[in-house]
Amino acid sequence: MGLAIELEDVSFTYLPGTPYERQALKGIHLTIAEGSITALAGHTGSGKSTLLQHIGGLIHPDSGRVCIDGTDLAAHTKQEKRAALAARRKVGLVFQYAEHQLFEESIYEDIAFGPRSFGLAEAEVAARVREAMARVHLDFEAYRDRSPFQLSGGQMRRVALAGVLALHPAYLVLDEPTAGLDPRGRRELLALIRELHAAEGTTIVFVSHNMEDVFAIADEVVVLRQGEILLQGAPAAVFAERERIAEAGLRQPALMRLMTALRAAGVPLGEADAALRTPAEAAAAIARALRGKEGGRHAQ
Amino acid sequence: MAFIEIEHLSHVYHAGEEGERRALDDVSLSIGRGEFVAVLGSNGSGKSTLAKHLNALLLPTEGACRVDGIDTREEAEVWRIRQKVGMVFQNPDNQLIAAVVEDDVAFGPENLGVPSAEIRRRVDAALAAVNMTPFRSYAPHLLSGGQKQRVAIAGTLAMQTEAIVFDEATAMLDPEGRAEILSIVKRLHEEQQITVIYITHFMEEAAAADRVVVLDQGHVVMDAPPRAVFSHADELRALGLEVPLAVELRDRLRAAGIALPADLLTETELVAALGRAAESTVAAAGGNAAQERQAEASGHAVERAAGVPAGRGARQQAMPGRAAEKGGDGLGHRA
Repeated sequence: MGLAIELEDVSFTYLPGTPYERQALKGIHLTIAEGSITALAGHTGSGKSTLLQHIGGLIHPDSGRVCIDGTDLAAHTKQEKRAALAARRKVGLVFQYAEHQLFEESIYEDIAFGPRSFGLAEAEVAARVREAMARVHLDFEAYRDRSPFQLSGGQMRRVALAGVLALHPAYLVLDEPTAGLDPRGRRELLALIRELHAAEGTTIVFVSHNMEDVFAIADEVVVLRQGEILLQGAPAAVFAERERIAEAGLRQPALMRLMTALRAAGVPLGEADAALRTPAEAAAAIARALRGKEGGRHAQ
Repeated sequence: MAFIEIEHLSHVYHAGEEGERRALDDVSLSIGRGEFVAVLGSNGSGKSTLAKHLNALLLPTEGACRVDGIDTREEAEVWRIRQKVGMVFQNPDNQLIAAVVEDDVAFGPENLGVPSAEIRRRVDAALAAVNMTPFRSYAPHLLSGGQKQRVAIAGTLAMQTEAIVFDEATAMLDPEGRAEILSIVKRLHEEQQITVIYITHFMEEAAAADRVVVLDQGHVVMDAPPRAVFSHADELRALGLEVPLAVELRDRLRAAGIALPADLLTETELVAALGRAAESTVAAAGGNAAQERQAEASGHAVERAAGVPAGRGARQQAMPGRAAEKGGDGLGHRA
């Protein structure tokens, strides 16, 4: 498995030398494996969005390196510039509230903007738009000529995502992908991210302060606190560290909190049941626990 | 007469033009002084359009909206209406205008020509009410999203509004910011009897209200206390909404044969009920019977004659006022 995204000792300070100087990242070492879904979690101001912008090559570290497939995103010489641009183009960055950046008169034109600016021929652009719309479940014929501004919030965000997917990124990087969506929009977008991952094995990195989203889809969680990595690992293990999660200004996912409370209230659940990720699994475990106990009593 | 009276209100955007859209269709609703009403609905259901009628940012295409007896179409009364009903919007970055927090809070009363000693008093009280006194001399852009929203709330309090409309005011906040805002809203409602109209996508927040109004495609489809509304999980999902986690588990466990009250609402209630169930399966003889006694003893109606009518005709809201007290199916539908 390749080491897709590597950060080596990355530090970054906003507005250095001013009264507002703030060190956002402090010596971050992080490797994101190819094919993973990695969540960057943290409180407002923890550095998670700054970290994401480094991965997208929008900002470069004051010290340290950010490498995509082994290539440093910060170029110093002319030759490096070309390699760095190619590496940066492997990363598709979907901003927070990406729908605010839609601007074209039709959905087709909006999605076509990126591929065109990459210099692709018009036939290839058309093929990319068609494919990207299919991947976000927008019917090409029905939606191509419609204004993106007449869509629901969730649909608009999917158009913005399609605009990035049309660039065929190897790494998809999303900043707060579900923020502000209604429950249906949120459900659909999470399902879509999982689908993109399952179908193409696209490596996905996303920033979230919604621990429910992190728990639902990530297979690796990096918890940031004041510009440093506080915890890293599989969601169940990371979120089990209740005190340190609180220290990071986060809360355990609601389901984990609830399962822990039930155990404390005497429902005979196993320790591993706190790691169950869906209400369906949790309900089955609770029902089993209550019946199991009953069964035991009958057997006496 | 109720504080806010909405009668047969319809709102049509771009009337007579291309892209004409009926965002609200014959909505009737009345909200009493001191109520805490949550408004739910998926995107495009008409929630924000409704909110903007409450302080005359939008005017009815048909029907009427009255605030404390004043028709919002009376142009000369617009400022009086806006003193009575304040708004807090979704984006914390679009609401603050002054360079310093306390100037921002003072902006409203200054425009009303309130004497400066009185402004001082109001600003102090408003900042204290939202726990922002220590930040009074900060520049707004140095605040977190939750803090900015608190300043926006203080701005409406300084106007001495009687009601505050929160139009997805927590949607862009992190969990801590959301919790801050909700606890301040609850406190303002309890301690200062502020009327709260709280539009949200978060079901747990709606569960904290006294009353939940659900909109779908411009119609009021449910109007009842949260316990009654969240007894109808399938209908809510069909509307693109969700139920709180405790409610989802409640329904799944009931389907699996675990006896739980049909209107159980909160995580605390669920933990208590299941804790008792676990105890009683050990202590009592008689298995399921014990669990059922248990559930009944917990003080909630065990079963509720549910049945949410699906058809268009059923969308008529029992009016005015609190439907649950009027029989029917408890959801504000005409029985």
